Amino acid sequence: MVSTDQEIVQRLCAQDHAALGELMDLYATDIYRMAYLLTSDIHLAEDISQETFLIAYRKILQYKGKGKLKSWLVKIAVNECRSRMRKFSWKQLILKEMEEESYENTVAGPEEQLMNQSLLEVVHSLPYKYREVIVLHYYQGLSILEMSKQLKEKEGTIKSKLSRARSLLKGILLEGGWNDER
Amino acid sequence: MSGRVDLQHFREQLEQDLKSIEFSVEMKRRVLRKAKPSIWEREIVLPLPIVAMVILLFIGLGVFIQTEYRNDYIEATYPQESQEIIVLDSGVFFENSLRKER
Repeated sequence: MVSTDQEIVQRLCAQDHAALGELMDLYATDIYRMAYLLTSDIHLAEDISQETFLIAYRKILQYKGKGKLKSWLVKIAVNECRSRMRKFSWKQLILKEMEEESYENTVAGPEEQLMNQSLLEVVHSLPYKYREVIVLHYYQGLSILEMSKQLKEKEGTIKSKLSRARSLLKGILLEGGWNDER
Repeated sequence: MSGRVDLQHFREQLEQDLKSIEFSVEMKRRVLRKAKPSIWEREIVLPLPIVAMVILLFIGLGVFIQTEYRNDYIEATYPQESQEIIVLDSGVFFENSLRKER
Protein backbone atom coordinates (compact mmCIF):
# COMPACT_ATOMS: atom_id res chain seq x y z
CA MET A 1 0.00 0.00 0.00
CA VAL A 2 1.51 3.32 -1.03
CA SER A 3 1.93 6.02 1.58
CA THR A 4 -0.78 8.19 0.03
CA ASP A 5 -3.33 5.43 0.52
CA GLN A 6 -2.10 4.77 4.06
CA GLU A 7 -2.39 8.45 4.96
CA ILE A 8 -5.88 8.67 3.48
CA VAL A 9 -7.02 5.58 5.40
CA GLN A 10 -5.72 7.01 8.69
CA ARG A 11 -7.54 10.26 8.08
CA LEU A 12 -10.72 8.47 7.02
CA CYS A 13 -10.62 6.50 10.28
CA ALA A 14 -10.63 9.88 12.01
CA GLN A 15 -13.73 10.82 9.94
CA ASP A 16 -11.81 13.44 7.98
CA HIS A 17 -14.11 14.66 5.18
CA ALA A 18 -11.24 16.11 3.20
CA ALA A 19 -9.68 12.65 3.02
CA LEU A 20 -12.89 11.33 1.46
CA GLY A 21 -12.63 14.05 -1.17
CA GLU A 22 -9.06 13.04 -1.92
CA LEU A 23 -10.03 9.40 -2.15
CA MET A 24 -12.62 10.29 -4.76
CA ASP A 25 -10.10 12.38 -6.68
CA LEU A 26 -7.88 9.31 -6.91
CA TYR A 27 -10.34 6.56 -7.74
CA ALA A 28 -13.87 7.80 -8.39
CA THR A 29 -13.67 8.11 -12.18
CA ASP A 30 -12.21 4.63 -12.49
CA ILE A 31 -14.94 3.19 -10.27
CA TYR A 32 -17.61 5.12 -12.19
CA ARG A 33 -16.35 3.81 -15.54
CA MET A 34 -16.16 0.26 -14.23
CA ALA A 35 -19.73 0.51 -12.90
CA TYR A 36 -20.88 1.76 -16.30
CA LEU A 37 -19.09 -1.12 -18.04
CA LEU A 38 -20.80 -3.58 -15.77
CA THR A 39 -24.31 -2.12 -15.71
CA SER A 40 -24.48 -0.41 -19.14
CA ASP A 41 -26.70 2.19 -17.43
CA ILE A 42 -25.14 5.58 -16.85
CA HIS A 43 -27.56 6.65 -14.09
CA LEU A 44 -27.19 3.37 -12.25
CA ALA A 45 -23.41 3.65 -12.58
CA GLU A 46 -23.61 7.17 -11.12
CA ASP A 47 -25.59 5.90 -8.11
CA ILE A 48 -23.33 2.92 -7.60
CA SER A 49 -20.09 4.89 -7.78
CA GLN A 50 -21.34 7.44 -5.26
CA GLU A 51 -22.67 4.73 -2.97
CA THR A 52 -19.30 2.94 -3.15
CA PHE A 53 -17.55 5.88 -1.55
CA LEU A 54 -20.24 6.36 1.07
CA ILE A 55 -19.92 2.71 2.04
CA ALA A 56 -16.13 2.98 2.10
CA TYR A 57 -16.33 6.04 4.37
CA ARG A 58 -18.74 4.39 6.80
CA LYS A 59 -16.96 1.05 6.87
CA ILE A 60 -13.35 2.19 6.69
CA LEU A 61 -12.59 0.40 9.95
CA GLN A 62 -13.32 -2.89 8.18
CA TYR A 63 -10.47 -2.21 5.77
CA LYS A 64 -7.60 -3.66 7.71
CA GLY A 65 -4.88 -2.71 5.29
CA LYS A 66 -4.77 -6.08 3.56
CA GLY A 67 -4.42 -5.54 -0.15
CA LYS A 68 -4.67 -2.29 -2.06
CA LEU A 69 -7.20 0.32 -1.12
CA LYS A 70 -8.38 0.46 -4.72
CA SER A 71 -9.03 -3.31 -4.72
CA TRP A 72 -11.25 -2.84 -1.69
CA LEU A 73 -13.17 -0.08 -3.47
CA VAL A 74 -13.52 -2.28 -6.57
CA LYS A 75 -14.91 -5.06 -4.38
CA ILE A 76 -17.51 -2.74 -2.87
CA ALA A 77 -18.48 -1.45 -6.32
CA VAL A 78 -18.74 -4.95 -7.81
CA ASN A 79 -20.98 -6.08 -4.95
CA GLU A 80 -23.17 -3.00 -5.45
CA CYS A 81 -23.39 -3.69 -9.18
CA ARG A 82 -24.38 -7.31 -8.59
CA SER A 83 -26.99 -6.32 -6.05
CA ARG A 84 -28.55 -3.64 -8.29
CA MET A 85 -28.43 -5.83 -11.40
CA ARG A 86 -30.29 -8.60 -9.58
CA LYS A 87 -33.05 -6.15 -8.72
CA PHE A 88 -33.30 -4.72 -12.19
CA SER A 89 -32.84 -7.91 -14.19
CA TRP A 90 -36.52 -8.54 -14.74
CA LYS A 91 -37.24 -4.93 -15.57
CA GLN A 92 -34.39 -4.84 -18.09
CA LEU A 93 -35.51 -8.10 -19.67
CA ILE A 94 -38.95 -6.71 -20.36
CA LEU A 95 -37.65 -3.37 -21.63
CA LYS A 96 -35.11 -5.07 -23.87
CA GLU A 97 -37.78 -7.21 -25.46
CA MET A 98 -39.88 -4.14 -26.12
CA GLU A 99 -36.92 -2.31 -27.68
CA GLU A 100 -36.07 -5.25 -29.93
CA GLU A 101 -39.63 -5.44 -31.22
CA SER A 102 -39.79 -1.76 -32.04
CA TYR A 103 -36.43 -1.78 -33.85
CA GLU A 104 -37.03 -5.00 -35.79
CA ASN A 105 -37.50 -3.60 -39.26
CA THR A 106 -35.85 -0.23 -38.97
CA VAL A 107 -32.17 -0.86 -38.35
CA ALA A 108 -29.33 -2.24 -40.41
CA GLY A 109 -28.62 -5.95 -40.51
CA PRO A 110 -26.51 -7.65 -37.82
CA GLU A 111 -23.24 -7.40 -39.71
CA GLU A 112 -23.58 -3.69 -40.28
CA GLN A 113 -24.59 -3.20 -36.66
CA LEU A 114 -21.46 -4.93 -35.47
CA MET A 115 -19.25 -2.87 -37.75
CA ASN A 116 -20.60 0.32 -36.19
CA GLN A 117 -20.39 -0.89 -32.61
CA SER A 118 -17.74 0.46 -30.30
CA LEU A 119 -15.86 -1.95 -28.07
CA LEU A 120 -17.92 -0.57 -25.21
CA GLU A 121 -21.14 -1.66 -26.91
CA VAL A 122 -19.64 -5.07 -27.61
CA VAL A 123 -18.83 -5.51 -23.91
CA HIS A 124 -22.33 -4.36 -22.98
CA SER A 125 -23.79 -6.98 -25.29
CA LEU A 126 -22.27 -9.80 -23.22
CA PRO A 127 -24.39 -11.49 -20.55
CA TYR A 128 -23.65 -9.99 -17.13
CA LYS A 129 -21.73 -12.94 -15.70
CA TYR A 130 -19.29 -12.88 -18.62
CA ARG A 131 -19.12 -9.10 -18.74
CA GLU A 132 -18.09 -9.10 -15.10
CA VAL A 133 -15.04 -11.32 -15.55
CA ILE A 134 -14.00 -9.53 -18.75
CA VAL A 135 -14.18 -6.13 -17.05
CA LEU A 136 -12.39 -7.26 -13.90
CA HIS A 137 -9.67 -9.09 -15.80
CA TYR A 138 -8.99 -6.83 -18.76
CA TYR A 139 -10.10 -3.45 -17.46
CA GLN A 140 -9.17 -3.67 -13.79
CA GLY A 141 -6.25 -6.05 -14.34
CA LEU A 142 -7.27 -8.57 -11.69
CA SER A 143 -5.75 -12.05 -11.80
CA ILE A 144 -7.83 -15.24 -11.66
CA LEU A 145 -6.93 -15.62 -7.97
CA GLU A 146 -7.90 -12.05 -7.16
CA MET A 147 -11.20 -12.41 -9.00
CA SER A 148 -11.86 -15.66 -7.19
CA LYS A 149 -11.47 -13.86 -3.84
CA GLN A 150 -13.45 -10.82 -4.91
CA LEU A 151 -16.38 -12.73 -6.35
CA LYS A 152 -16.17 -15.54 -3.79
CA GLU A 153 -16.14 -18.18 -6.50
CA LYS A 154 -13.74 -21.04 -7.13
CA GLU A 155 -10.81 -20.38 -9.42
CA GLY A 156 -12.00 -23.11 -11.75
CA THR A 157 -15.35 -21.38 -12.12
CA ILE A 158 -13.66 -18.05 -12.86
CA LYS A 159 -11.36 -19.65 -15.46
CA SER A 160 -14.29 -21.34 -17.11
CA LYS A 161 -16.32 -18.12 -17.22
CA LEU A 162 -13.38 -16.16 -18.56
CA SER A 163 -12.75 -18.73 -21.26
CA ARG A 164 -16.39 -18.64 -22.32
CA ALA A 165 -16.43 -14.85 -22.18
CA ARG A 166 -13.35 -14.67 -24.43
CA SER A 167 -15.01 -17.00 -26.93
CA LEU A 168 -18.13 -14.88 -27.02
CA LEU A 169 -16.12 -11.70 -27.31
CA LYS A 170 -13.93 -13.19 -30.01
CA GLY A 171 -16.98 -14.27 -31.96
CA ILE A 172 -18.55 -10.83 -31.77
CA LEU A 173 -15.31 -9.01 -32.58
CA LEU A 174 -14.49 -11.23 -35.55
CA GLU A 175 -18.00 -10.93 -36.94
CA GLY A 176 -17.73 -7.19 -36.58
CA GLY A 177 -14.51 -7.09 -38.51
CA TRP A 178 -12.40 -6.02 -35.54
CA ASN A 179 -8.66 -6.51 -35.82
CA ASP A 180 -5.49 -5.16 -34.24
CA GLU A 181 -5.23 -2.22 -36.59
CA ARG A 182 -8.57 -0.82 -35.47
CA MET B 1 -5.40 -14.69 -38.62
CA SER B 2 -4.36 -16.43 -35.36
CA GLY B 3 -6.83 -18.52 -33.43
CA ARG B 4 -7.02 -16.02 -30.58
CA VAL B 5 -8.18 -12.45 -30.67
CA ASP B 6 -5.45 -10.18 -29.35
CA LEU B 7 -6.90 -8.24 -26.40
CA GLN B 8 -3.64 -6.47 -25.58
CA HIS B 9 -5.08 -3.04 -26.30
CA PHE B 10 -8.45 -3.90 -24.85
CA ARG B 11 -8.20 -1.54 -21.92
CA GLU B 12 -6.81 1.30 -24.01
CA GLN B 13 -9.66 1.00 -26.50
CA LEU B 14 -12.22 0.88 -23.70
CA GLU B 15 -10.67 3.96 -22.07
CA GLN B 16 -11.05 5.71 -25.39
CA ASP B 17 -14.74 4.78 -25.50
CA LEU B 18 -15.18 5.84 -21.88
CA LYS B 19 -13.31 9.13 -21.97
CA SER B 20 -16.49 11.17 -21.62
CA ILE B 21 -17.38 9.32 -18.39
CA GLU B 22 -15.95 11.41 -15.54
CA PHE B 23 -16.89 11.56 -11.86
CA SER B 24 -18.04 15.16 -11.69
CA VAL B 25 -17.55 17.81 -9.03
CA GLU B 26 -21.29 17.73 -8.36
CA MET B 27 -21.21 13.96 -7.76
CA LYS B 28 -18.31 14.47 -5.35
CA ARG B 29 -20.21 17.19 -3.48
CA ARG B 30 -23.24 14.91 -3.19
CA VAL B 31 -21.15 12.19 -1.58
CA LEU B 32 -19.54 14.63 0.85
CA ARG B 33 -22.94 15.99 1.84
CA LYS B 34 -24.31 12.50 2.51
CA ALA B 35 -21.20 11.35 4.35
CA LYS B 36 -22.37 12.45 7.76
CA PRO B 37 -23.13 9.19 9.47
CA SER B 38 -25.89 8.95 12.04
CA ILE B 39 -25.08 7.47 15.40
CA TRP B 40 -26.55 4.14 14.26
CA GLU B 41 -24.37 3.92 11.20
CA ARG B 42 -21.08 4.86 12.75
CA GLU B 43 -18.70 2.21 13.78
CA ILE B 44 -17.14 2.71 17.17
CA VAL B 45 -14.25 0.84 18.72
CA LEU B 46 -14.59 0.00 22.41
CA PRO B 47 -11.33 -0.72 24.23
CA LEU B 48 -11.43 -4.20 25.76
CA PRO B 49 -10.24 -3.25 29.29
CA ILE B 50 -12.99 -0.67 29.64
CA VAL B 51 -15.63 -3.12 28.39
CA ALA B 52 -14.36 -5.77 30.81
CA MET B 53 -14.46 -3.30 33.72
CA VAL B 54 -18.03 -2.26 32.93
CA ILE B 55 -19.14 -5.89 32.71
CA LEU B 56 -17.45 -6.74 36.03
CA LEU B 57 -19.06 -3.70 37.60
CA PHE B 58 -22.51 -4.86 36.53
CA ILE B 59 -21.83 -8.39 37.76
CA GLY B 60 -20.57 -7.04 41.09
CA LEU B 61 -23.61 -4.82 41.43
CA GLY B 62 -25.87 -7.75 40.70
CA VAL B 63 -24.19 -9.93 43.32
CA PHE B 64 -24.36 -7.11 45.88
CA ILE B 65 -28.07 -6.51 45.32
CA GLN B 66 -28.80 -10.23 45.42
CA THR B 67 -26.86 -10.63 48.70
CA GLU B 68 -28.60 -7.67 50.30
CA TYR B 69 -31.99 -9.05 49.24
CA ARG B 70 -31.24 -12.46 50.72
CA ASN B 71 -30.05 -10.94 54.01
CA ASP B 72 -33.19 -8.83 54.24
CA TYR B 73 -35.34 -11.90 53.54
CA ILE B 74 -33.61 -14.00 56.21
CA GLU B 75 -33.86 -11.24 58.80
CA ALA B 76 -37.55 -10.76 58.04
CA THR B 77 -38.29 -14.48 58.21
CA TYR B 78 -36.06 -15.30 61.16
CA PRO B 79 -35.70 -12.30 63.50
CA GLN B 80 -32.23 -11.95 65.08
CA GLU B 81 -33.22 -12.83 68.60
CA SER B 82 -34.57 -16.20 67.56
CA GLN B 83 -31.58 -17.36 65.52
CA GLU B 84 -30.55 -19.61 68.41
CA ILE B 85 -30.11 -23.16 67.24
CA ILE B 86 -31.35 -26.06 69.33
CA VAL B 87 -29.98 -29.52 68.75
CA LEU B 88 -32.28 -32.41 69.66
CA ASP B 89 -32.17 -36.13 68.98
CA SER B 90 -34.62 -35.59 66.12
CA GLY B 91 -32.54 -32.91 64.44
CA VAL B 92 -31.37 -29.29 64.41
CA PHE B 93 -33.98 -26.50 64.78
CA PHE B 94 -34.27 -22.73 65.22
CA GLU B 95 -35.70 -21.90 68.64
CA ASN B 96 -38.43 -19.78 67.06
CA SER B 97 -39.66 -22.66 64.87
CA LEU B 98 -39.96 -24.93 67.92
CA ARG B 99 -41.87 -22.28 69.87
CA LYS B 100 -44.33 -21.89 66.95
CA GLU B 101 -44.96 -25.61 66.73
CA ARG B 102 -45.74 -25.77 70.47
